[in-house]
Amino acid sequence: MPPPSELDDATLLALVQRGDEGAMASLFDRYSKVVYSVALRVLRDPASAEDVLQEIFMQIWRSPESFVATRGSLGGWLAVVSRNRSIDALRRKRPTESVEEMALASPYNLGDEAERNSMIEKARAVMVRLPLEQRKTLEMAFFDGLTHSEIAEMTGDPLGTVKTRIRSGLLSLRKAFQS
Amino acid sequence: MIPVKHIDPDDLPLYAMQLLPPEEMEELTSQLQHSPEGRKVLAEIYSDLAALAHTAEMHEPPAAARQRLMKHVAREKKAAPAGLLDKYAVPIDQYAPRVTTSSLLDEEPAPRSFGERVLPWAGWLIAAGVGAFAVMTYQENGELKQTVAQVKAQDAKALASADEASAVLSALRDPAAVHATLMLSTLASPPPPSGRVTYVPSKGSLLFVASNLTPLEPYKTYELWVIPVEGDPMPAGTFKPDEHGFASVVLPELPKGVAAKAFGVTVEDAGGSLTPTAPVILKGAAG
Repeated sequence: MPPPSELDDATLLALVQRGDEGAMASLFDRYSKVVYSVALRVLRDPASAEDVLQEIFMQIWRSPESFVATRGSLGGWLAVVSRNRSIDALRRKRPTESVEEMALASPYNLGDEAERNSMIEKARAVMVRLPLEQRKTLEMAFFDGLTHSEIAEMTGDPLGTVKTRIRSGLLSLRKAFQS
Repeated sequence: MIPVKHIDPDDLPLYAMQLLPPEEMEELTSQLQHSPEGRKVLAEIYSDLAALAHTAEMHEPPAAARQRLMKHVAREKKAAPAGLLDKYAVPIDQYAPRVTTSSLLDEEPAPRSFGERVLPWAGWLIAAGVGAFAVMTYQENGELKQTVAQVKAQDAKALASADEASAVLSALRDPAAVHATLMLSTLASPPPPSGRVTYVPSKGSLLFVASNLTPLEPYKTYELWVIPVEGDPMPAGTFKPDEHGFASVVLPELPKGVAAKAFGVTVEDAGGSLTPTAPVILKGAAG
């Protein structure tokens, strides 16, 4: 059997289900940077970001079956969960989403470091090319957790424009990955 | 049949980001339960959000975070699932001592039970096990010591580099610092405003220093712009000159990987602007 660091996510999760601590460490090594970075971007506080990191990985340890690979890329999934948990922490709310409820139609294999890095570069390049208002609106919604009404109030843009900007920004991201 | 209300496609990204009011979240959740098409679109949106999340600047978590997690993990050790144990379990009767019958007239002694045969060796087996464990622990200890030494060396290097960077930053930002712009000693007229940018696109790192700037009204500010090869100018920080006309912008928040063709400085209302206002006071092409 290859070392845990070379195993795919599904196999590592299966090992975690059997109580394999080495597999858990490998998942941490693979995804902790993304989970922590997203939390830090939202919370802007290293200690709070680490709390989110610990909470998410302990959840994997306690119920790995909730993260089965058929729900899409584990890396992408963790990045979104990290954002949602961090926004909850910002709002001082209890975690809202149940892990079982979210499925990703992810075309990327984020378990592979090279693919993950290439996706990061691509996503950043797309974001930079977006019109400034669209990029700002998307970041305010995603990383700052501002509702469309709050964004409309802050920017003076109509509600409908804010909603459309968010959706079309995401579509631009998707198109860039499909091309 | 439950009537499926039309789902506004603009609402789904907000739903995925949990930004709708609670009652709308609930309503959409129940609509999605009856809409496979809606769930498919939602899965695609989650995937887009995953890509968006990866645009955050990447930072390594603190080194101690891994240790903390593994400590928690060890504290909540799991029992292997029952099925797994069953797979490797040996039926109990194979270990049970065999019952034999014999009479006092038997010439051969009664065969010893499994326990009787194994017990005398048990002590040796345990001692051998302990010995092997001690050797493994010794080796592991050696490896750990080596790792700790490597980490310490890396830490020392990182600390030295951080100290150096911090010294550079504080020198640039220190209001008590003395600034001088060196020019031809024969220059007759007062020196014109000028600025110098150092920009590393791959890291999004930028340093800007300007001199001989004219003072501004309190409600105005200078703003620095990065003009990318593609796309709109990006604001790179506002600044005001000191009484000697000197100003600097150090490491403003900029995305990584944006190639710049030029840089510019404009005068904007206090607080800065998202788009540059003419005229451009200072400009220069990226060389």
